[in-house]
Amino acid sequence: MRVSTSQIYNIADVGMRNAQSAVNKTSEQISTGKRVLSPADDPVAATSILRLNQELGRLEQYDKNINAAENALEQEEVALDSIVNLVQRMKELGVRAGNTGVLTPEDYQSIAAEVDTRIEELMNLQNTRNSSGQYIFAGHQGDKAPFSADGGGNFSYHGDEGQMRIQVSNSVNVPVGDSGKRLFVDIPSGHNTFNTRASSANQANPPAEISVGEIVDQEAYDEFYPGDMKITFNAPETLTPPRANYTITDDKGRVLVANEPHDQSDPIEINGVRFQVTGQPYAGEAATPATLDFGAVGAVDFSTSPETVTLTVGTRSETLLLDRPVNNAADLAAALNSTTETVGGSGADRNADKLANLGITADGTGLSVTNGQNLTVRNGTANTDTAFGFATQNEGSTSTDGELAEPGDSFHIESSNKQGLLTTLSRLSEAMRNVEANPESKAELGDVVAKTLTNLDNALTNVISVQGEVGARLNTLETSRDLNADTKLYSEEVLSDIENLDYAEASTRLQMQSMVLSAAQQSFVKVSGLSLFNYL
Amino acid sequence: MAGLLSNAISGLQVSQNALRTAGHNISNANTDGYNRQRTDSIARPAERLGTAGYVGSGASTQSVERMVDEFVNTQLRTDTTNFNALDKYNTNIGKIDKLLANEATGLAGGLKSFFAAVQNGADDPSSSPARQLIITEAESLSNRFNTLYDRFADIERNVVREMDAVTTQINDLARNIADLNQSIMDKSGSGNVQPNDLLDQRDQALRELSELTGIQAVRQGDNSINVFMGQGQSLVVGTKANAFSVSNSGEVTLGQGTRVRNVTDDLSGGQLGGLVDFRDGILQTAKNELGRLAIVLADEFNRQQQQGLDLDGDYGQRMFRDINDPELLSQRIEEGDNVGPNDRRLSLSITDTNQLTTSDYRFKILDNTNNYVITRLSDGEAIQQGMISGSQPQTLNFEGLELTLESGSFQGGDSFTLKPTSAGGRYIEAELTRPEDLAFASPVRTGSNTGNQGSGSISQGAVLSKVDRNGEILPTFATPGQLSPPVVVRFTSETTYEILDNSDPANPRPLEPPMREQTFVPGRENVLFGTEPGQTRILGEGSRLGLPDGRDAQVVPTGGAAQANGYPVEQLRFRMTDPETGAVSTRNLVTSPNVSAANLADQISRVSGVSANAFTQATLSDINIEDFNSPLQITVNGEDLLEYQGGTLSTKVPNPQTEPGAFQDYLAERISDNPNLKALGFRAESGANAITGNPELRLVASSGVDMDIRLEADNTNLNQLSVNDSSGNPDVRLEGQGAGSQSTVTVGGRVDLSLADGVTLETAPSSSQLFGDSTAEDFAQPSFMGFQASIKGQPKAGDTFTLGFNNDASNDNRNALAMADLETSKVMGGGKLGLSDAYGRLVEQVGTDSASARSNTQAARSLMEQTQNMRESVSGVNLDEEAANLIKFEQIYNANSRVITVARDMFDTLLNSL
Repeated sequence: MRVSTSQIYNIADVGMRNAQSAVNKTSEQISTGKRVLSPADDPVAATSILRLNQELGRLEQYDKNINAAENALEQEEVALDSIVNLVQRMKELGVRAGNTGVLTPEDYQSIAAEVDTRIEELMNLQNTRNSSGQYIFAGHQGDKAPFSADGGGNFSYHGDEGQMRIQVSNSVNVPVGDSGKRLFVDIPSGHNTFNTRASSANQANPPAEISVGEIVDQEAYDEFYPGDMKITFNAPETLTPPRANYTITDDKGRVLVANEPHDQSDPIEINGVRFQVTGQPYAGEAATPATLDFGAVGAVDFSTSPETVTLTVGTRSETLLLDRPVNNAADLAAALNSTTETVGGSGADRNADKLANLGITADGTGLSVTNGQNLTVRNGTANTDTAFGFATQNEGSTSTDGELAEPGDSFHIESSNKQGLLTTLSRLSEAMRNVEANPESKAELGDVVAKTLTNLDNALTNVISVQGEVGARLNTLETSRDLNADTKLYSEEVLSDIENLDYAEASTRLQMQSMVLSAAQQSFVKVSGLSLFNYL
Repeated sequence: MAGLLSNAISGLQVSQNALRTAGHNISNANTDGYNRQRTDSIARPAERLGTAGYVGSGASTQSVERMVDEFVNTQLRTDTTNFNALDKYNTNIGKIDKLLANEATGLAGGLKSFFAAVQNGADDPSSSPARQLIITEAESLSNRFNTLYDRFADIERNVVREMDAVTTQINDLARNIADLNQSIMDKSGSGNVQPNDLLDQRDQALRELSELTGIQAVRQGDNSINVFMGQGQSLVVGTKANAFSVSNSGEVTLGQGTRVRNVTDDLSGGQLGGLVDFRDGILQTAKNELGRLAIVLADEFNRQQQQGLDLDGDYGQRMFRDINDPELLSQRIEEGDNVGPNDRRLSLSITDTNQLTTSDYRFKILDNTNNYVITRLSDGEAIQQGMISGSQPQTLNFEGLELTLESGSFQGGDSFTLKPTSAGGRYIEAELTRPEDLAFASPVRTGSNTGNQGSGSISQGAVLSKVDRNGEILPTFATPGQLSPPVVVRFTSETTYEILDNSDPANPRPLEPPMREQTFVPGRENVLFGTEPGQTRILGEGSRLGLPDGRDAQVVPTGGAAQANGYPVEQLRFRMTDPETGAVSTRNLVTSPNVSAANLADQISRVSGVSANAFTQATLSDINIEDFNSPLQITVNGEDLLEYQGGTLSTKVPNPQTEPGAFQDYLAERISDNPNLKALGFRAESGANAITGNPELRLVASSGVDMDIRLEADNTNLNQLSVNDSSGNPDVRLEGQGAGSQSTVTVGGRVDLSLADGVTLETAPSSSQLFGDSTAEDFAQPSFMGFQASIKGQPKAGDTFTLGFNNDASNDNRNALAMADLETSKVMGGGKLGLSDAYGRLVEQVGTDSASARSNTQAARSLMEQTQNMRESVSGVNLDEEAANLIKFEQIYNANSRVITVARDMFDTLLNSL
């Protein structure tokens, strides 16, 4: 083949250029230690590197997360340990308090004093804070103390049931706390028990308090259980002479005790439960009876053709039958209060019943409902219009002056099969402080002490089981840490395989490439020296 | 002798020409585009020597030839075009290739440290420094997006600038070729004389032009060459050249007289083609993917942030700038070259970031019609067609986008380019500045009552969505600082519960719309609320339900047939609109006369998208039994409640006159303990009327069967009880009718319907006696709460669970965990790609493209070099060859000179002999 002179130079040029760029690339690889210098070198590897780096970054973060979780759980463990010790000490005290035959009320006073100190200590432990100032047993509401004493030996929990979790690996997140409710409030009780609380809507200032209460007759209470009770204070005017009084209803709305006079120094005892409401509860307002006065009563003789009229109070309606002559308001009232039939089979004998059913009283002036619920008379006829002296047809007439009683402060006795740790201790303390030097009182105390010991055992079981869980979570953290470390090691290995340079291979390659380059250079020098002109 | 001399002289001339040509070759050995020349000599016509024949009369130079292979030249141009296109592409893609993968400049590092900061925040939600770090990282992440976008924009600007420079060169070369055409035509006017060096120059100009763009050169008869490019646009015709230019928007136009055409899409090859390919290809993709990532990230974080509660207990604010900021909506649209007036207003908003693609779109109204076509430009597929309605604004939805034609004279021929993602990387901006504003907590708090007897537990609860299907904020979350309403779940039995509005915890009241008699399956996660934003509920509130006004007790012989519940025959038409396809289907149901609510619910529940729950309730009150002895029996659905012992009432039965409460409790217990009634879902509760305090016995049958309540009693004294359906209808009184006769009344059930998104109900008659007026506005009430929780375990009747607003939740990190989850969750590409997946894919795509550009460039370079070699081999000057020629022609010259010497000697000899 014919070769032109410039070809000789071109060929050498191309050869040296290629060899040079190869040497250059290899030496760049060697100096950075990286095999893939830009994604174009190996696009698949470049994406893997990106992914692996991200994975490694995540693993590093998980390690930090695990540390944070570990700190939190260890702090919880420490707090729980102290609480377990404290409860054990309380059990010892309880066992001592069981010696009702030997101990005197004075001894009990001193034991009660120690219990009270311990209660305070316990509350402090239950209100433990972490390094960020968050209460660790408050659920999600870490900013405010979860446990507080409301007076009267009653304690309340202000936190929630939230549980913070921390992500410790791609698929695992671990709870790093437990709510105080679960740990210290929802403790299974050895007997059917109850919790007392004042309604959050109470208005009295200073607020009236309800004591923690005790069960004085377990059998009576068991019979009522699981009913709840609500003590509502009523307007004093409901009693004559007016005085503070309350009504107790159950959770089905049935009245257990109505308008009982209230004396704050006397405990209230009902269904085997004893408690005390102290202070001046807001009494509320009495109901304004609803009245619907008769108008000008016209004479109608219903005995010839009995007619009906419907009375409605709230969601209840009754149809009353008029079957006797009505000449004046007294007749009308009598007809409405009728317990006999003037016309045989008319059914007017049920009228009195029906009125009672609706809570309506009928007298010479008109109809009234004492509880303040407005009443309606409707579905009548022209004759009943005349008899009542107001419109009774179709929609009829409705009283407008009735006002329901505004309930006063209320307190709840809520049945429960759980009893909080603080409540248990507080009940023990109260029982010890109230003990008298007689066998009945001591027997009662003995009963309380027995229940307390059972419930302290339950509390211990509860706390210890959570401790077990905390331990298990710490184990999970450890496993996750190991697993993360393994994954990290593996990922790093893969990353290194993909990304890092094989120095042995690279230096051999460099050796060869530089040889190629120098060969190209030498051959160029040789070839370029060849020219016929040298011989002319 | 004279012949000899003239022969020698001709030889001298020939060799002189040859030496000159060799010298010309030597001197042009390094001239670009030079083709070596060669002289051809021929013998001059011979003279006739009588009969002897002819005697030679010397030589002459016939021609000076270029050694050229036209095929090789054409091939070289093609190879040059290819190489230059790839080389330009390769150089430019190299700029973004490293940019994306580099830890310091790429997104991967930014995403990594941002999410690490979020995790840190989740570890300690109340920590202000941890929160501050997220704010800072969010800023630096959005800065990184902005920087990358700016780099892309810079690269694009440079590409356009380079295109401008290249076109200037193309125009110069075209002009040059046209001029050379002129000169060549002038100089080769007569005979077959070739102006070799001009031809060389023209070939060189063509080659240089082929570096810049793909061309076809066509030789004409007059020795001129016409140059065409791309799809056949003429660049040079004879002595005329057209001019290219690059518009401000980076489009290449070719000026042909007064007409100017956009030829950007027709270009191929050469530097210009490589630049356009790069800009419209991978650069666009990279920019769009970057934009999509920015948009998805901003949208997902904003949504999550807005679903949470910040440290002040407020609903979270946006973390990044709104992806549908009004300012951006019209900037995503580029108007084409549409006819005036220039009054069209459009906006493009992003409705579903998960569906978003990286493609641009073309919205075109077909010429002379009202029909539009939306084309996805990445693959040219027409994804939506339809009509311009003319009523504005008109909205068109496709691939997660909503195009709104706001106003203007839209008409046939209009064309718009839609770029939803292109500028996403530019506009992402961190908006939060206060660490407290990070919404780490979930707005929902759940709790269980300490008094609960059962083992039921409620999950922590979660927010599903803060907005309904139209993007309007749900009433639940409309008021800051509270859930509207908080709810309480109350178990009415072990298998039924109701959900009530807990705004006033002392007096929970029904929700709007109510949720009553819901079914609970013990031992399983029971989800409390529906999850579809468009779901509705219809309540069984028709006038003929229950124990309607006007129904009286009947007297039947003991054990006689039950009263019918009086339910009418009605037609129920369910209309279902598929939310995906928009297809409408209907299902018609005709109710049977006197059908029980249980059966009706069963029938309706078979319609897909509808679930029905039935229940029956009744209240027994005013129990007044004066004859407390046989015959006395109260019967519910055929089950006798009062126990007898050998024909007389058992002593277990309390006397209703003296112990009304105990008697009522006895009835409640008898009902609740009866296995047959239990199987029908019966339960009874002995209570007192909330207003009057009178005792009443509440009965519920959660199955929805008709309740058949009977009294058999003496008719001498007063023996009665009242029944009502607990909904305000008047009481019906059952009275003793003597032995062998029962006073009976039937209470019917109710059916509540839950309709899935897109399902509606029409009734015939429209004013249904079962469900109420189906034309009423509030017939079907929206029931999507926007939050969710589930209860598992075994709750007992009376147990309650609350869902309320999560105020003061400084230690709640649920929403922060959800944010951290966004790092790996598949939030893009229809649920197939995560953020880093998408970014990794982009890096891979650019890398692959770059790698293939690199190897293709190398291949093209070798091909070009091979062809160059071929050309050199044919046309290149070889100095050794020329040196040999010099010697050869010098010797010929010398020989000819010798011939002249011989001639002179002969002449001298002749002269001397005279």
